[in-house]
Amino acid sequence: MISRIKIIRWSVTVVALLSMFLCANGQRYAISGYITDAETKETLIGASVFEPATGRGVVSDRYGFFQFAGLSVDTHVFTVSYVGYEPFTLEIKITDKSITLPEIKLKQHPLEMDEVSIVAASPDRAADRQVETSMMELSPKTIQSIPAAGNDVFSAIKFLPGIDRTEPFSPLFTVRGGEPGENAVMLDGVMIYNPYHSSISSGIFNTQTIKSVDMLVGGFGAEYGGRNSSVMYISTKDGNSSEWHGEIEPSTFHSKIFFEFPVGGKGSAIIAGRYFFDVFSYFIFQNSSYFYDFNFSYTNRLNDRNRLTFKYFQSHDRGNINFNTFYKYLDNTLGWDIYENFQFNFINQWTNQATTLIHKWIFSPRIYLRTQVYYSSHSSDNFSGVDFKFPVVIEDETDATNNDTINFWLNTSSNFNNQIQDFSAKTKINFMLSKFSTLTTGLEYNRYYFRNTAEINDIDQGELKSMPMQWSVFAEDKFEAGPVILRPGIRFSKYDKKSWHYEPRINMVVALPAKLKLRAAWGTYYQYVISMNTNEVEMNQAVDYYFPLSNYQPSKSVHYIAGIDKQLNKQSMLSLDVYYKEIPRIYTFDINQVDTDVIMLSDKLQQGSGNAYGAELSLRGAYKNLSGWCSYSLSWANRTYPNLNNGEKYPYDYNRRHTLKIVANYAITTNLEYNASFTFLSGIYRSIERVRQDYYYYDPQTEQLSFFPIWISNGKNNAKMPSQINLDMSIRKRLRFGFGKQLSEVFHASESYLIVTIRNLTFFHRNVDYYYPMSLPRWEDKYLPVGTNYIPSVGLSYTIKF
Amino acid sequence: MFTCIINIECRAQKFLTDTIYVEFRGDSLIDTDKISIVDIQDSRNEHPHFVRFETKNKYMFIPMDQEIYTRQPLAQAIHSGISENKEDTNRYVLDIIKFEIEKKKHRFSKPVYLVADIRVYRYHDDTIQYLGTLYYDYLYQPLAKKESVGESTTNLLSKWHTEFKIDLLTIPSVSQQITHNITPNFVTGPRVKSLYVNSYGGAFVGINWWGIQSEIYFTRPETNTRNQYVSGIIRYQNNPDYESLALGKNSEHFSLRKGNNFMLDADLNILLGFCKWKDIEIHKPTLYQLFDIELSSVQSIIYNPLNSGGMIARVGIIENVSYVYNKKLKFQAGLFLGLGIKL
Repeated sequence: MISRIKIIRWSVTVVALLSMFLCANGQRYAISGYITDAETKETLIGASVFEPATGRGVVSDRYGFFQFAGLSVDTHVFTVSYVGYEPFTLEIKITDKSITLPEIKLKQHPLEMDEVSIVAASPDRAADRQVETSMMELSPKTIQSIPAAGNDVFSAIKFLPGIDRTEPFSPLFTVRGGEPGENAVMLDGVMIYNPYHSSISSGIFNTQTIKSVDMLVGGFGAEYGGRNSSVMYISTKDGNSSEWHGEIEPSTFHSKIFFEFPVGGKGSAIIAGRYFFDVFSYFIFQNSSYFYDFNFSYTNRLNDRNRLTFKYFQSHDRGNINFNTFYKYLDNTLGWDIYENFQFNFINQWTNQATTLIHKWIFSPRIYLRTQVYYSSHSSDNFSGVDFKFPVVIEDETDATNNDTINFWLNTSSNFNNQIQDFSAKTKINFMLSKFSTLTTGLEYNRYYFRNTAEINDIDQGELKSMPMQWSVFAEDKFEAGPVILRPGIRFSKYDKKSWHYEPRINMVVALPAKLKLRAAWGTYYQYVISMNTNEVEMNQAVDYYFPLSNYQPSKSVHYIAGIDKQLNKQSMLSLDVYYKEIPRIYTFDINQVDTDVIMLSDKLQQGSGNAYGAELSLRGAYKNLSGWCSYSLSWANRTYPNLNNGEKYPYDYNRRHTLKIVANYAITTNLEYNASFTFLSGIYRSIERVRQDYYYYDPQTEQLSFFPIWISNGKNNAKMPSQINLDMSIRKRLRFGFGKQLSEVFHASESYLIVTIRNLTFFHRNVDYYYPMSLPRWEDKYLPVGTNYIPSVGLSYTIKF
Repeated sequence: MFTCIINIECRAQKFLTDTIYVEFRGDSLIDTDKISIVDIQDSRNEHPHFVRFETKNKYMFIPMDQEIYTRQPLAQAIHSGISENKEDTNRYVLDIIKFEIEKKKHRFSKPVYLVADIRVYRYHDDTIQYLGTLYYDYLYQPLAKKESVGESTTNLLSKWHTEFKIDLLTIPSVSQQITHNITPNFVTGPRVKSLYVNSYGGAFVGINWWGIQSEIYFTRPETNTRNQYVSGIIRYQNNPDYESLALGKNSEHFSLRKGNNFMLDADLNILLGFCKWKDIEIHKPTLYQLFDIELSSVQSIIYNPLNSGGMIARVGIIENVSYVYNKKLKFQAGLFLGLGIKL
């Protein structure tokens, strides 16, 4: 076996030699600059700069920045283009130096119907842009076009191949057999912890502020670290620096505002917010649930070379759901009298804060620096419990007059509290070494604060506090030679007082004849902060409880990915991806351990291993006014833990063998669109209980005998749930008359839209998520199917656009 | 699978949207020798030929858009039958701010109106002077029982054009102070807006019953004494046994203007609400009894100055019938007071 040191030396040497060779080859000149919208000055991601004379081209990165090297002393003519914008011809005379251009401003042209597509116009653009082997893009328009997504990023990504939901009411997601806590969510480079709202199981990001979402589902480059499964990178808008614009979405429940405006001559800002209050639930059932989120962004274009951006984000949720009143209504309806003293509560409080300062600097036409400092925090406090007092008659078989009645008290609860703070500073430098090579290198420092506490069935599980730090360094080279784009890279990371870990990675794209493109990636990933799995005791785990692996080796996974794309026409592509994810080290929490010695949370941590593999076939594109995608995934994922399932391999909790996902958008006119989404999901694996163990304890003060139940199954994930089918549709139409149109006229708005969403059209197919053992007299062997989406629903959304 | 969808949608495309071109038959009966129009501008944020928009449900559920265009640009069509820049006439420049045929969704009927705002400028010595705006809420009476959208549009435009020409002729021939009563459609003054938003906060009280409500509706500049409009209502009411929170859409108002400041108003609304029962143990409500339906009417006198914004007030009586499943129908009456603002 090759030793670690040898591999590190080999990797560093290859990157260094490659860079030196390519540097030596780089005696020509370069141009660089930002590409922006002429009207709003917003940077354009993925705009193309093409030189017809040489047939060479580059695209702008997620900061709207491009670098074009390998230019000789001559006059060069470039075509700068972007979908929905008029192409711009740029003539540059290169004499004796490289040039940093002022902003290239593209003008929008009236929307043509063939541009009303919800998928990227050039499907291969993503691969060209970042050379990420498994990257998918979502635009705000795409998110809006998925009826079941409800204009939410986290609901929308679950329609992408390889990404699946976890529990039915949870916003958490799993990627290619990975754990929910292995997904990094980054907002403009800031790591966001638990970016979810509790009340509506959605994300905390207001899509009105989002410019693009890049979803990297595996094999991602050395720039990203700290998570083993995926990276969701969300780029937000900088704001319109020419004039005021806005959107208002008033609602009794869930209102949104968004304003973008110029500040001074060089600045632009965004203010956006959402507020939700469940007024009817409060009115009828006395439940109080609300959330808000708030975004502020200020960008100053100091000069052609420097930009400074400040962003602030905050969200807060409070959910207080008590089913007591509802059950009383249910009792009256069904003529029962069993829920008189039944308390079933969820009380959640979540808060997120993030603030960042970003400096982008074009140091020279060949060197681009991005420096960022940020603070990101999350705290969650979740209580769930059942409190049920009921009398039980203890019969005296000999003399009925001696029957005794004893009050039983079913009392089971959990209370998890988690706090995380992340202070970070990082810098990234792009060196355009030559027309063949771009070297990217970076340094990151994180200082964390963690606090974890838990109380399960009123038993304190202890408190854990720690303040670890992490250093990370990475370097990677994007090497282009003819049809091959190769990106080798390496990331080094050091967590707290542990030794350095290295993570070599490589991505490759090869353009083949017949419009075929071959993609491949390999990479090693380490994760030092994991997420606790608490679904054994929480009714519905809706957040990740972050847990630092300060006294453990980091969890580790190795990705092997290969894919092939066939471009069918200008806008359509067929792709096949196969992947194998080796997971040599992974952790889980065995929360329900009843061994009295095992009280502390850290004692419940178990180390295991696993793997995940599968294939994903997808067709994305547009045909006339129809656009969308259709994907089929076949996947396996397994886990092995010494103390679980007798040490035998078992299928991973959220693995679905077959998934079929279809998203279609039919834009009849620019004013009227039909959308549909369909999913077929194989059932996930559950531990269906066979035996219930009741743990009794006597409270001498109340003189009550209390108990909490623990269900015992004969094997971990021993049953596969039935498959699930969902079909949702929506219509988005510009309002031409009526109340909504008049309201927009009063505000002098340019347009107003109504979105009607019809959810769960396949309600006749019962989507069962869980079978709950009845354990009632005469029903001992019966299981109660518990699921969601039993009835279809209609939702309305109204937007005024300025 | 993907191909299958494409085929379905392509076939569907044939009936999902339509553009219907109609004739604009300008009036030829009215003699307009005394006026001429130098220019008509179309400032609408619409296609220059657009006059009407309709939505029809195909197969009951699939909405279909129909856009109705005139064969020639609207500005050109309106100009027909009126001279261009003729000496010794009253010369005007017109600006079309709004021009759309709408089918209003009233509870008992769906009348078709032409809603238009046309600014009128006097052209004199190569300069233009703003005179006022012609506001139309022109109700169309169908000529036949069953008319197609195209036919009704053509007939409506033709009839309207006659009224429009009469209105133009009515504008005085010399530059003088013009008041809004020259013609009902011609409104002058800087305070007149094309659309007013009226919002009320109201309270009502009866025997063992009280509540509050909020109401919002939009009104155009009034060119008729009788008007009909619809509003949206959210209402909280407190009964001895339950409280309810109800929403009402398309609450129908019939108003009659009495002078420049007051109007009589009667409304009729249906509200759907949720109930919060006060004592669940006593009333033993079921899940069905979480909902209530309310039919109510308010007759009131409203202080609402003609074609100007500001405070508005309302005094009247309210009658309400509430229905909750398996409970006795409840009839209540009371006094209604409302205070609001018109912007």
